Amino acid sequence: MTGKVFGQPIPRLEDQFLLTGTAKFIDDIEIPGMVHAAFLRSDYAHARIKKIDYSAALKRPGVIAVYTAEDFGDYWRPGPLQVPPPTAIKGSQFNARPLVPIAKDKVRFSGEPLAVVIAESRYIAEDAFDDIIVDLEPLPAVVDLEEAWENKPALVHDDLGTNMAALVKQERGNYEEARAKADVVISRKILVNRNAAAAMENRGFVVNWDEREQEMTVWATTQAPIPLRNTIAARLGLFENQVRVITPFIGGGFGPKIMTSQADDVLLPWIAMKLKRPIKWIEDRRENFLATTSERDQVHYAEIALTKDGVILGVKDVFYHNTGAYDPYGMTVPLNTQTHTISNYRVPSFYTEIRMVFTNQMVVTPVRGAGRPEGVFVMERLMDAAARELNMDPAEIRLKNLLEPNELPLRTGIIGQDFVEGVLDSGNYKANLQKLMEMVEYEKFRKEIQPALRAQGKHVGMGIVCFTEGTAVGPYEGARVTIGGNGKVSVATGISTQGQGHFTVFAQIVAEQLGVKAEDVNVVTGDTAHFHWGAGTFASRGAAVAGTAIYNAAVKVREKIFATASKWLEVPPEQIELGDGKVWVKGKPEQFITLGDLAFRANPTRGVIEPGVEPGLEATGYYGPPYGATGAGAVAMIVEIDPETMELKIKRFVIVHDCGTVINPLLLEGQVEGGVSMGIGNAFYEKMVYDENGQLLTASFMDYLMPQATDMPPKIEIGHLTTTSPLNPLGIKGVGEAGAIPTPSAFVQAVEDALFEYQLEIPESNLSPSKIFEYVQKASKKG
Amino acid sequence: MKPVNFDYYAPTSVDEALDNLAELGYNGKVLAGGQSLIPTLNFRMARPAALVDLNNIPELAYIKPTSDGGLAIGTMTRDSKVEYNPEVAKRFPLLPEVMKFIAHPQIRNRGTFGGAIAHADPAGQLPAVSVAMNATMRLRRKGQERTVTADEFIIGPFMTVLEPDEMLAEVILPPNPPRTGSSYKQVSRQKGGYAQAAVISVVTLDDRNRCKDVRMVLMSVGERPILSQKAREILMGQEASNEAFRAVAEAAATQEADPATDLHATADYRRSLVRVLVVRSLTEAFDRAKRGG
Amino acid sequence: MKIEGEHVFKGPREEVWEMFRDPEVLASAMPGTQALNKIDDQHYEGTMNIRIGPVSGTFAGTLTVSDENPPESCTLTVDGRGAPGFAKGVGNVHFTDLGDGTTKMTYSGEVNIGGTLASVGQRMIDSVSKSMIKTAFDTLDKALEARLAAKESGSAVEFKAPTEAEFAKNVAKDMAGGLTQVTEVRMLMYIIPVAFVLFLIAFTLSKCNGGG
Repeated sequence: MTGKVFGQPIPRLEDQFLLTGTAKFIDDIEIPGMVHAAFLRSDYAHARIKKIDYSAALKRPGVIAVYTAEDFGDYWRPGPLQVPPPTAIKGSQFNARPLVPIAKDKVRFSGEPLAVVIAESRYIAEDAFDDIIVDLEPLPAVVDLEEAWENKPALVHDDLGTNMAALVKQERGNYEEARAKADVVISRKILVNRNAAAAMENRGFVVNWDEREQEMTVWATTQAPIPLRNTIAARLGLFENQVRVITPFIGGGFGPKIMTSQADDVLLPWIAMKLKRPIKWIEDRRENFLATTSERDQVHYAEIALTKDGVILGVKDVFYHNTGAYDPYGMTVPLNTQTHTISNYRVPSFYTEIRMVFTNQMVVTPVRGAGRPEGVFVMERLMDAAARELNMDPAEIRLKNLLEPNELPLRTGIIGQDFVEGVLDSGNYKANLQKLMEMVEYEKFRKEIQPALRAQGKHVGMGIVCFTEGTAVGPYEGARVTIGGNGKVSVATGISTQGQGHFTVFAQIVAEQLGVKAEDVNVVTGDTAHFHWGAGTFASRGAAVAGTAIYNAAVKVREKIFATASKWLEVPPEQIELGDGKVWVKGKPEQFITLGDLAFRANPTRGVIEPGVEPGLEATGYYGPPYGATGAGAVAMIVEIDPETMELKIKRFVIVHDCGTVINPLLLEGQVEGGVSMGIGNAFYEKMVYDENGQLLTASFMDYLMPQATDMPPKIEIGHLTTTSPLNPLGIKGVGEAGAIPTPSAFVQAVEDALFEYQLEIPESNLSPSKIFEYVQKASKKG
Repeated sequence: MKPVNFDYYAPTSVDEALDNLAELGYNGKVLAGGQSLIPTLNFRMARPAALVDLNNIPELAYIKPTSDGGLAIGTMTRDSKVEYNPEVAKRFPLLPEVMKFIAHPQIRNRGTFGGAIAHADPAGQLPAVSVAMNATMRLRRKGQERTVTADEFIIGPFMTVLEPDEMLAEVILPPNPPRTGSSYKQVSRQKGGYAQAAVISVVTLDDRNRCKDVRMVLMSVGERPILSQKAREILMGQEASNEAFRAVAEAAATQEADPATDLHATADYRRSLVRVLVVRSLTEAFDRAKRGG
Repeated sequence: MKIEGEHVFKGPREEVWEMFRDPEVLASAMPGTQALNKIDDQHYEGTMNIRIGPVSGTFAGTLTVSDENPPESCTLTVDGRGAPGFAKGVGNVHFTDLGDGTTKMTYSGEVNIGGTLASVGQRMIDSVSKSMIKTAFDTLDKALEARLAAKESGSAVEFKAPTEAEFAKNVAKDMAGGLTQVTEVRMLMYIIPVAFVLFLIAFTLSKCNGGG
């Protein structure tokens, strides 16, 4: 579906601002009279607050105010929930415990805010921490998921009487029957370790209350500017349009920046109104690790039942999911795990059970992948175990069980994060794997290359896995497209941008419809004064959902152009051509009107207009899908391990991906490569570690290892297939999280394959040379 | 992550700096390249009352030949200057070899040779190299000067014999005798990252290829750089042999290395790395010594 | 973090106990101790100043003695808090007279560290803790030696925390010279694990003497 602009690999339009340092980021915002906020945070993961005495802090020069929970009076209250409970799922139990803005009576995670200090500078605010006397009575910390489920060693929420945050069971078919018929049943305990998003830029919040105008302006590094605006307004009793939320350029989101109702966005607007001074808060890196959400951390007891020929009859998965100290984001992450476990395979019977627990750790909300990597990891590990048991090649067992295109669309029988039954809309999963095997020369590798290398004593292994990616979920997004008097086009949409290239892909969609150059389309995202309806940037939905809304609006504007031009050029619309920023009569190019002129004419300031006609060349469009669009793909990676030191090198990384129609191949590549980098990070470097007292031990990049360019394979080879989505006119599916989802699964399989003589089976998703060494030692002892 | 207030002194001569340090005593802390100090200040883990900044004293940065064919390196010489200096490369190929592993080029442009050694990070390359090269440290305080060997200088993790009003002024590298070969082998999680284990070998052979001198240092597997006695015991007077190297490796790993288990690696794994890296390092050092060093 | 091990003191059990029984002597022997106050038989509080490389700080802690089984063993709980974090240590100490004029002390305990130090200081904790315990025992050995020598010669005990020894050196001077610290002694502190082990040992010994 490539056009003049749409589908073309044009370089990004926003890069000139980013590369010349003129782009504005949150810490660039300076307002006269601005003061700085800092949060005093709890060291203990679980404690009762006996006393907080900040009188000494108030005496420090430069300190303007200090607040604790009590000082906010009735304004202090938990919540609201950001994602509603899963009532759509029969029999589900959910205990809502939304975020509290600041700890009151009890601290539930290390890093939870105890007090907020407002001072002339951030330095002074941090100095004031030393003045604040905090008396906490430590309590035993709830850390282990299975023990938490047993309400040991303590209750995170005393009033609840349990640490169970949710219990959600879903089934399709009948697993017990399937199991009874099976020739082979394999069960495994599988762990997925916790990772942070660790965006290059931390969070930030700047708020200015204009007392005379009675208007509040907020700059925030948020993925959800409109919900943020609405909750701030609601809490303060203001009209929504008295609050403007602007997102500056943001240095990466990856999920946690979707959160609202955190200490900054709840407390700082209230304080700004009280003190009548603009306030800035910029999160530092340690705070980001401690007190911004992160994700993954599940313990699975999974089972697969197959025939002796390797045909899957059923899968069962009972898993513990850590939601952390609160559950503001509902069941989104574990529901994604449920919907992505059986993924693109034919699994007639599937039973899945979420046991979500509260713990004394930071809250878990989506990070690129958002529960999908966990589901895929479990399934791929089961497939690998089955392949080993049945002496089948890993690619062979997958090909045997992948769904065929004519089985789609397939109603999965499992309800997902959008509270409707997941439907696999379109895709050719086998073709993905076959193309991958071609690209990576699978047969040759297995039969010639690998045996030859092994004969030389080299430990080279391959991992090959399949995955799906649920994207583009509802509810909806909207956009307004306007032709300006300058002949250029202005687009405004409610979602915000964190570096994905929205300013370019949205321009491409509009430019194609309106016959202008992409550079002449100006896109505004994430400014509620420009557009104030929408949900936010998450679940890889920007291009598919907001893009479609933009497309719908652009199509309406195109119709208006033809209608208006027809009137002024005095010919029927079919005889009008549109392009190069103007309209003209077919065959008579000298009879033209520029778009700018046409826009001007479409907005008379005198005279009479026909009934039903709207002024200007402008239209607003909305789009909401009936369910999410599912992308899919397959990954193969080849690693070489030094058996003496267990050092590992990625020799090759190949990913085949199908995300439907491609708007800009350059940006698509960027998204895939970014996701793969994070996947490699998750698999071999990044690991959030909490100790048995709930202390986060990895709160700096010294200990939380970020993947570097030198850790990447020489090239990330990307193959494309295109199965358009039937769910939107452009056929687009999301792709933002694709690379992150399958990578750990492939990584682990590759390591096992490389160290073949040890017959390793690795049930966890994060490795290191030392960890591999441990597994080898254990395996060697077995003899 | 903002540091606590501190007084800031920016002396422009060594004497002025020593005056400042004498005056401040325990309340003062020297600022050299700052690549290790500044993060600890930002985390508020270090709260010195005053910083004495040596970056405005050009006379502290130099690489000068000494009368016996070695080199004297001023404490404030930037790591990258040492790394790329042709005289250094000629006399001590070990230095540019090791320095490529120290963090990243940007950090080496600011970090200083003396600063890194005075910081005495057990996982630091320069402290370990200075022990392997049998360097001499010149320490200065107001009105006094003394020298100690590198091995005497570093006494524990992040601990040296420096008095609070004393600074490391110069590192003196003795010349390598002919037929000396050296080698550095490390394993780290990532390029530029902290080593999980490393072995430095400096070997001198006689004209019959027998070991005349060997200094082997185990790095990052103990509280300080470990100068291996076992290597001397087993290798002195011996020719290169895999058997001998493996004996050294086993002894070093089990009797000399004292690695810790941390977030990134177990002590067992580190010990296994010592076994492997000792053999690789000695093999290469002996080989290079044979070929003329 | 688990701490366990043993140390043999070159002195008879009574001498070792006597030495540790006296808070004054102990304070002068333990690096960086500024003050040591007895609240009651079960509770003590103290302040200490530690310096390791560039990292330094003053901290204050409380010590609780429990599960006494004199003269063999007891449990000590140390609790310290402050701006850069907190540390809580629980330790069990056991003494054996080896019958040859020496005393073996075995200890096993756990120190839990939290706050900034735990979250960004893992590298420091890991590499420093072993060294500190060793150094602490070295200091105690020398203190015991001085006491035994003084007793023999009949003179007053002349023990200065060794100025040449590792980290003790710097801190002992702090203590001896009177601190010119800017920070006041309050609940602001910086906790090092071994300090608590030292408290554990010290107060155990004084306590496990059966109150004598």
